Amino acid sequence: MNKQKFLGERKPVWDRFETLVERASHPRTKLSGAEVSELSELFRALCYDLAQVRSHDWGSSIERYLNDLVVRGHSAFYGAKPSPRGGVLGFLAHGFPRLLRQNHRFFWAACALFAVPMAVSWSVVASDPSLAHRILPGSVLYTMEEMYSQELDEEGPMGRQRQDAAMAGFYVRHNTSIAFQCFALGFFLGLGTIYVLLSNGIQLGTVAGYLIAQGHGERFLSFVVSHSSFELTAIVVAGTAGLVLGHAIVAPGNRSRSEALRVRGLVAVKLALGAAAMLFVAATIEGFWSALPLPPMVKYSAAAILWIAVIGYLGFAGRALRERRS
Amino acid sequence: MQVRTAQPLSNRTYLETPENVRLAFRLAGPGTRLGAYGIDLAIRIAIFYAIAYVLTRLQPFTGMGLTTGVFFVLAFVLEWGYGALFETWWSGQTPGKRTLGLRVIKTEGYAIGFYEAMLRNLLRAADFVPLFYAAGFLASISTSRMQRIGDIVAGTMVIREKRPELKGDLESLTDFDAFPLTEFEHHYRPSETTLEAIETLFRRRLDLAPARVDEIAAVLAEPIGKRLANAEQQRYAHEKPSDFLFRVLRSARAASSEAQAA
Repeated sequence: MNKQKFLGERKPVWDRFETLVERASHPRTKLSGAEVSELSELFRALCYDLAQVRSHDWGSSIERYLNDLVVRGHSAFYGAKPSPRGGVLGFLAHGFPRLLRQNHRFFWAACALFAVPMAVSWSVVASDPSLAHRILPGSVLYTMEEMYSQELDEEGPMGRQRQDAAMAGFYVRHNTSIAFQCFALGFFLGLGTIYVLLSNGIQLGTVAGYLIAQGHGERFLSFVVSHSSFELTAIVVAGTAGLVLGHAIVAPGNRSRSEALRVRGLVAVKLALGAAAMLFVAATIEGFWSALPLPPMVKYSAAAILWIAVIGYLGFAGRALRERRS
Repeated sequence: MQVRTAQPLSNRTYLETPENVRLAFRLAGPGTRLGAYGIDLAIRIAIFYAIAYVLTRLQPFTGMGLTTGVFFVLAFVLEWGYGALFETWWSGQTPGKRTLGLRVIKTEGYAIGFYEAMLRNLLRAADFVPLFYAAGFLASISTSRMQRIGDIVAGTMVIREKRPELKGDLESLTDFDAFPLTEFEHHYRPSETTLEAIETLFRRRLDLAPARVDEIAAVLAEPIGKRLANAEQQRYAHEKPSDFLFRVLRSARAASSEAQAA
């Protein structure tokens, strides 16, 4: 068989295959059962054609053409898209908390890396406020003190005018960026994540201890206690994601490092996205609720409900589902 | 099952499918990817200013707080979501990648999904370390599939989808005299792949310095010249390699079009 005859015979088949593959890879079209089996038959035929072209000396342009067609067929056949089962809502309602519980050891490790330095710096600075200046620059401490030394309903940096949506938007961008960095830097053997967790823990503890020592404790605590339920937990979840990633490199187990990264990376990115969703909730609470001029007792009660909600959500959401399925 | 046979400095990677066919992919190097990044960055900046402009116009109606909040959220989506969302919707392409004919695919050769797109784009934060993608650059020149950190973790690679069209045509081939193919011994005729290589060189000859054209041509002219029966002709092939090759190409092409007509 010569090249011309081969091309003349096979070109219509290739064109038919191209139309089918085009439709198969389009997200909104669905092939009928007959078309799918036709496509699969044509795909095998094309693989054979490509092998034939390679065994003859028919030039590289026809080989490239067929190679590209087979690549597209390969992609259409084996590229089933891993989309979240049950969509975004299903993922948030049970997929994410279940995934987090499956990785609970990393969660508790991240929690310790964050909470222990926070508790230590908090208690140390509360007993000796001058130490705060050795941890944070004076300007930061001054701004913090300025912010929490006035009542929430006063006009000023913390006044009602600048609150609500603007602050919620700011927190979404600021906090979620930190969370994503905390996750991504886990690639470096987990060290980047550990650094972000430690430094954020120390800084937050220092601010808290300092403000309490300066006598702004109630204003500060009643402001942060509500949204911190989602916010601090989400930072720890982002840290969990980073540690999962770092662990894949440090201890890949029976897999190769790249294989382990890809398996654990998928888990990690889901956790990071869950953390982002939690931070959106936190930012909304912080912008619209935390700044309301309400009696501290109201704030504390709401905070108790929010903390119970977070713990209940991460600890129990999706449990019943798993039992039913197994 | 993957079989990697990429050589050092090769811009290709190969993949063996379950149908026992070896597929070839052309990888995109750091330079082209930087170009795509530049285009995307320009688009992102333009969108950023467009958002700021529209929100400033809306401010008298909605108040300062709402527009500022919306601005922060949109800026966040633009910073972290631009690449991931485009690569999800356009199956591995952003506007910049589409312009330069690049696409992100799985290393198994198929299309990426939402999580891969998200993963490789969130990990830009790791690629960026310590300054302007230094870590990502190092990773991409030291992995056989030119992957930055985000690609390694997501199991993706960036390929060139289309070969840029070759410029120049073959009509001016008639400027060269036909080379009598009978000069070769044993009815030798250069293979089709060899002829295509000569053709590529011919199309590019005006973009290169003549000495460089001869230098490249010599690589092919040497083995082909050895097939010549006549020592004098062999010397000619050795001394004027590009001239020799282009004349052979002309004759070979003329011969094959005659065969077709017959």
